[in-house]
Amino acid sequence: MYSCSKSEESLNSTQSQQLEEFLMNTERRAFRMAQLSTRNREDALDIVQDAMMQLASKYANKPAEQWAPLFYRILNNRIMDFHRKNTTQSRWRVWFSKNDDEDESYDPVQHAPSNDLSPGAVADLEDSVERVDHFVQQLSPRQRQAFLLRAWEGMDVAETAKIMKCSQGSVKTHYSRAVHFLREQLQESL
Amino acid sequence: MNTDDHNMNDEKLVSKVCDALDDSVNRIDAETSQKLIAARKSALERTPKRFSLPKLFAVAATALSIFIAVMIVKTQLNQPLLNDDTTMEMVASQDTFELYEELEFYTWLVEEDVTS
Repeated sequence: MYSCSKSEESLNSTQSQQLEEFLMNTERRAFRMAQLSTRNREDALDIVQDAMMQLASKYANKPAEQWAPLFYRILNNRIMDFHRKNTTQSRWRVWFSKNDDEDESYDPVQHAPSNDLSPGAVADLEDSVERVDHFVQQLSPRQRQAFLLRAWEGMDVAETAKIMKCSQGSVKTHYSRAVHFLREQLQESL
Repeated sequence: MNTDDHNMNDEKLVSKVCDALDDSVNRIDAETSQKLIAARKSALERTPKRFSLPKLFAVAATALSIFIAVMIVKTQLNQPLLNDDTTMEMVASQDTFELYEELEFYTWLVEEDVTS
């Protein structure tokens, strides 16, 4: 009985070694995905840490080949939560500042933080990495998810649909719109 | 431009975008890399651990002790407080408890009467 327990422990250590390798290979790309979505390093780090913790605490015992789709699903859920939270917060902010100022001419669009660069500033971006970063950030959250999962992570349509919790048709639409947008913006500069 | 050219251009474009994204991963600064390593380590500490044999014994012993304690308490509670007819009679009677407290005296009194 004791030897049985021993073998279970060694299996467990193998699994945790595999999990460590998986996280090591994934964490930096996951961080970049989160950073492109949040445009903030600290928020991106929080999201990646949260996703890694959830995978390790709840799904470490699942077969290793299931880790990638599970991890990206958790990561994308966290990113969508971040967007939802931000939208709610900015609505409250607009509502309160309206009440405080009693200013009828308040325009939330003018007060919203913007990361858009002027055409001149985009042309000044040092290299292709910065330009790609800039335009990938301009995609809608769903288009960005579809593009990064399909093109960068090499996932098929079915896997991407599972991760994004939508139909395969929606994935194809989001992906094709993302490619169309990037083609229009980057074809000249890359 | 026909559809094939379009698709080929798209493939090239996607591949260039992916190359740029790969480059951006290599450019992650040292501080962020350290934070990612720390995050990974703290995530790995949360991996569910299997129960070792001594732990299993400890859990089983605790469960057994609790079970025995519950059974003892349950048995005690199930025992009737008044388990004989005399006690029942004492409680049900209208007489004061004084009579029963000095029962020996009254018994002696009765015996004395009989002998006299």
